[in-house]
Amino acid sequence: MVLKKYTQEELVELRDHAVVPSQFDFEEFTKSIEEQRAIQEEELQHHHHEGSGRRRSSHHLTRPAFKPRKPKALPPQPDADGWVTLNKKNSVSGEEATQSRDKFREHVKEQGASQQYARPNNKNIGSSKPADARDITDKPKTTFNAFAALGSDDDEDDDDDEEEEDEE
Amino acid sequence: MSEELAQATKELSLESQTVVDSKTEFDVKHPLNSSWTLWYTKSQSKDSNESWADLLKPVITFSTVEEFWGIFNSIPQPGELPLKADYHLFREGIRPEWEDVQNSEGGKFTFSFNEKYNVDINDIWLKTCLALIGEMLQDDENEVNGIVFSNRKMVYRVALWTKSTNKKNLFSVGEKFKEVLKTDDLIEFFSHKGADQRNPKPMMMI
Repeated sequence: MVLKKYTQEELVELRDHAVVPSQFDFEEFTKSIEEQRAIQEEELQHHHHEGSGRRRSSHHLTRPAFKPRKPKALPPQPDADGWVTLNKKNSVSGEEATQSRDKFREHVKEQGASQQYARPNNKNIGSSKPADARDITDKPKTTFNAFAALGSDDDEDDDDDEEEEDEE
Repeated sequence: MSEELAQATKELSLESQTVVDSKTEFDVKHPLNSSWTLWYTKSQSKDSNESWADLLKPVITFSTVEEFWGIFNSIPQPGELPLKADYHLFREGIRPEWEDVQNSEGGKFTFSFNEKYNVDINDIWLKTCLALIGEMLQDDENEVNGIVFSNRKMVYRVALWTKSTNKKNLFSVGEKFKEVLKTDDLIEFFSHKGADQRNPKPMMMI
């Protein structure tokens, strides 16, 4: 079977002779495609406004607020004599310390008056599983009594002797 | 179903005089080897329950070069299509679906243009259409059934559908298709029968 072929150039040469078929409404077709695109773009915009829970992408128009870092405090510099004055707050002493202590004690006292001790709720502490009856009942203790054991052995021997005597 | 389709596409056909009908009249049309039908898959809107069959519709059938140009100049360019929309250009009587008897034993070469905004897709689609209707994608075997353009979120995809999976014929078709797409990357061929698998593997790559 021989195919009727046209090269790209041959086809392009005939472009100016284009015939627009009249039985199809191309305008309507184009309009419907434009409408579909418009709907999609609207949906996309809506999606962007709603936010999808994703981190904000960099292509958004609004930029994030720029918060400059606070400059770090410089360490204390030595003076002309080579001494360094530390800014570190030392522990309080004297009058100030006494006041602070009394204040704390009063505070604790007030707290103590109205303090409520937490009571554990046993319901939440225990296991929800029913207890095993074998663990609850008192079991007879089987402890080994060495003297009792010796005594019983003797008795048995005696009995045996008696039996032997009877046989004789 | 196929009778209805044949009737529907027949109604779309353009009746016109061609250079074959009249040897003396030169102001007549140039017939193509086949009649071709342009199909359009509408993108599915979010809340609609439209099925694939509702979305895929034949637009128009043509059989001459002049009609092709008339149609091509009057419809939106592929780059103007909404997302998830497709153009299909298939031989008259072949539905652009795997289930069609003419397609069921065949497959498709596909190529995705990943850099959507760096590619002149309108030009590539036009050249592919010209190669298709001019029958330059195949030798004398009637192997090529049609082409598909898909506009997707991240990619433009162009596919070429074949009648069979005969590797001997396909190699030559694939080489020509690749030339038209102007790409040095590999193009993959998938058979339609294996396409319903979860991760279909290409039958061949060119």
